[in-house]
Amino acid sequence: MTTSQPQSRSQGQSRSRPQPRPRPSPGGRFDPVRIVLLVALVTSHGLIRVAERYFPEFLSALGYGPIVTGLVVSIGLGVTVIITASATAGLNSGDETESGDRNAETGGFPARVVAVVSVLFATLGLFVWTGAPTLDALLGTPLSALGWLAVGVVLLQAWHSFGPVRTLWPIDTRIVGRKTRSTRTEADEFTPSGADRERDARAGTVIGALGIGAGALIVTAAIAIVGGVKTGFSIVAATGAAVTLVAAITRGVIGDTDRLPLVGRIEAPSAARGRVPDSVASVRRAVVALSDRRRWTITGDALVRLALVGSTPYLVLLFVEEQPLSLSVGGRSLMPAAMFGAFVLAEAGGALLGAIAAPRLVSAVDRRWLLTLGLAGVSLVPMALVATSSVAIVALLFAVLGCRTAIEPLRPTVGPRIRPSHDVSPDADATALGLPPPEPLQTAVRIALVPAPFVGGLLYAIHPVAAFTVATTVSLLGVRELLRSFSFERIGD
Amino acid sequence: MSHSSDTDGTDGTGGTGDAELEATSGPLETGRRLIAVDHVRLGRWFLVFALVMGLWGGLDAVLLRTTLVTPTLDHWSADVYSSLFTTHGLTMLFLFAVPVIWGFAYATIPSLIRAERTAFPALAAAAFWLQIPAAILVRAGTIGSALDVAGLDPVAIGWTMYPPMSVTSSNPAVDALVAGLLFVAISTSLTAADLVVTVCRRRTIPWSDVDTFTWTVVTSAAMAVVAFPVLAGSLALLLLERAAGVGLLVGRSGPMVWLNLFWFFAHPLVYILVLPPMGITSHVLPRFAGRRLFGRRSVVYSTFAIGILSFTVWGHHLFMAGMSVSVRAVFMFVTLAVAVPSSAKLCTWLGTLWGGAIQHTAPMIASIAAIAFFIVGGVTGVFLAVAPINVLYNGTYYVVAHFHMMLVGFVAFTLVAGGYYWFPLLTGRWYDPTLAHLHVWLTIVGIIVTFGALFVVGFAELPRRIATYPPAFAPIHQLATVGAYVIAVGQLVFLLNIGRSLWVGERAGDDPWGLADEPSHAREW
Repeated sequence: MTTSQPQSRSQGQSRSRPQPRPRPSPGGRFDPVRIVLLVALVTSHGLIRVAERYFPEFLSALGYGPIVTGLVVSIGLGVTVIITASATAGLNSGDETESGDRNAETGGFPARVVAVVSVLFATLGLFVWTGAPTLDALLGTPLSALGWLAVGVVLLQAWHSFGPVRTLWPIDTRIVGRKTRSTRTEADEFTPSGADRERDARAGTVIGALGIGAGALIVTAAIAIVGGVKTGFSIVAATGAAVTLVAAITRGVIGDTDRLPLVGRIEAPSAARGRVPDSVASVRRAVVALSDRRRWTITGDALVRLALVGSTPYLVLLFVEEQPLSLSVGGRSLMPAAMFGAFVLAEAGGALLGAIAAPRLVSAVDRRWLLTLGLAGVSLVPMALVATSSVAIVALLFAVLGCRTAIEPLRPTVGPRIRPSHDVSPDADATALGLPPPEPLQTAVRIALVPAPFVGGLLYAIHPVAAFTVATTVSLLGVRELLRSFSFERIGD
Repeated sequence: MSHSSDTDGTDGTGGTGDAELEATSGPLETGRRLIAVDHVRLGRWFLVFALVMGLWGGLDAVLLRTTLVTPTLDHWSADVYSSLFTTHGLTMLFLFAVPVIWGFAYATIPSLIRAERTAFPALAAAAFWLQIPAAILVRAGTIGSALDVAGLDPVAIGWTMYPPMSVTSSNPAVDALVAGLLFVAISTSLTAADLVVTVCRRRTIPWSDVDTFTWTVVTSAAMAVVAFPVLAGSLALLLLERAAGVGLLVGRSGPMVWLNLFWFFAHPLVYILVLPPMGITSHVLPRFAGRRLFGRRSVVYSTFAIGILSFTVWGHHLFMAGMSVSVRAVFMFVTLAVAVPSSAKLCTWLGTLWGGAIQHTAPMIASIAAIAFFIVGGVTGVFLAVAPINVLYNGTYYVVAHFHMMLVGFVAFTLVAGGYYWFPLLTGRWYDPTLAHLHVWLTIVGIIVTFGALFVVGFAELPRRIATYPPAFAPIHQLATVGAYVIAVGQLVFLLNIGRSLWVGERAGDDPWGLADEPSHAREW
């Protein structure tokens, strides 16, 4: 896949070997190849994430209950943890050098190869999802539809672990690594720092929300047209497989990284992502080393995340099966399964608004209050969703859920390190919100998230109200931990 | 680019320049401007028309592949599926592939043979404009259905229009379709005749200097002059049968009459579509291999051989329809004989590439990919020529995979190669090479995935033209659908490249590929 380079014809050039004249367009914001790659990657992101949101309902249509759903989703999260941990094993063994670790996390492979392969794994995963119900009949394997769906889940983890757009929103409901240490890697050559990084993180949220919005529109249209989740899911997964394949080919054709779009920059490996804690003792040591406030903040945020990871897979089951909501507009009705896509669209819209409002909120409002009230609002959403049967209110609640992007920069287990334009409370910032958790603790949080979907499935099997009530309860416990950390009552003492 | 009226003021109308046309106004002048055009502009019109129709036919393909994602009909009816493959086939063959070939021919051949203009420019332009009502009539069912016109439904009789279905269908869109194809037949016959006379009478270079692309076009056009009137006659008969019920195409022997008439036209049609792309391959390869075409004379002779043999092989489409063993054997061996000149062409291409200084430009990559697909399509076609194998696979996806490997893998891909090679000639601008590479690679991967999957279900003898299938084949059909989507995205990239190039593309010079001092220099630049 060689691209012809511009060459002027000099007198000394061989007559038998003239070079073609078309010249690649100069890189830049409107570079058409950048745009194609950006669109392909962002659409892939949206389709994969939306397909994952519908995955429990697809399983249900095939006859599997919420416990199985939870188990499969948890397996996926576990695989992500293992993959990222294995990939960084070399770092723990001390073979990292100051300048020679460019490809350490990717096993010595160039970032381009890793990016293409991870996207191809996603293609394969989505394709396996498309054909899961019938693959046994074709291949004569004894895996069953569930087995093949689980294989698809495992394959998709390559996308979540190493994919070029793994850090696009939403990252709090997945296990997604992030760069935590400044070693010289390929990422450093293209990833801006400081204010640029903050802006890029926000752009990642906006782009991610746009991708999810596009995916939601596609899935809503597909299900509305074909009239069923089973076929609609297959079409969306097949479309996703095609788009990811396009993304892989585009990434391969582009080759050099200077033509990569913003989302492509973050594909490069980051050195310390997903390092495995050496032992439980190291986690304990990290916890002990923290100040109380930081510990409470991290615990509080982790609990909210735990509740979200444990409850979001079952929203589709809730609104398609338990309390189905449909909408009639202009003589055409949107069935519940298609309606859920519209709710996801509302969530993406909320995320967009939140991301746009975040900088102003962070600089204008007390960050502690902002984080606490924001997480409190998010905590109440699961229970509120169970309690309502109005389409408008449910859409609003989904939008509120999406608006959590406004507080994402302040969340220690999710957001990037962002300094406010002015310090509202230097002490609080320095000890609670300004720094990420130590690496062993971050990995411990990731591991703690793994069983959450399974537990959520168990609770949902008992009763949907139980699952969402427990989610709200756990989340509110997290908010309470935050409140302890911020000690509002002592301000002014 | 000395041939174009855009640059040198000459045109194809015997002296009336565009400037003069633009200086006048009124309906008469507008009419003249639509008829009196130079050959390059006419070529561009054909190409734009073909591109639009190709996108429409491609959309049909994407939709029909989408219906095949699940083994059962979940939303669309079997009629919708049948109408999709009917209009897809008709649109791609008659409204995309044929016009695009005439487009390239008009854009380049007068310059290649040093002709000042074509033989009958006004007739050629009129033939082009006839394509517009033809397209509307061919797609009347789709248009009527979309506009909710009472009685007009998409046509679902298959592109071969076999009786009795084509005769007994009460859908008025079938009449419109047949009338539209009649227009296509008339238009194509006129265009082909114009090209044949142009090469024979207006050429200012000796036959020995005529390039391989021109040879293939003139052969193809001569074949069209013979074959398309047969189609026109057959369609007139079908219209008569539908209107008056004369009984020629129904009853015991009626369908066999149609089969013989239709395939006597349709198999040469395949070669009418294949020969000019073979010429493009022979034209493009040497330009980017840094050497002359290997075995030029054999290329020309093999073109003649293919053109003549193609009128003798229609019978292999009738193996399943009832035929004596001896007649079968004759058609089998004649069909197999086509492989000989085709192989000769392949050898010349490989010989040209061998030891050449290959430049990885978009047209070169597309040409090399087209040759690879030609090998796959050709070899699988040889098996279909063998009567016992044909009987087994004739009604299966194997046939679909084979002819798509030829028509999409080879013909369409070579047209892509020609499109990129002559892009500076047609537009005066450069395309973005990285986008072009992306387009080419997306299409390569898409073709391999799509038609590779169809070969697999074909080997399993899965019947074609049926909207449902056993669930065990679902993953393979889904794979084919994924590939089709990738091809579709590739064409969107192509459109993006064209749009961007026309908008901000760098201007190309008179010798854009730097071939002026090369052994492979051609006269169109």
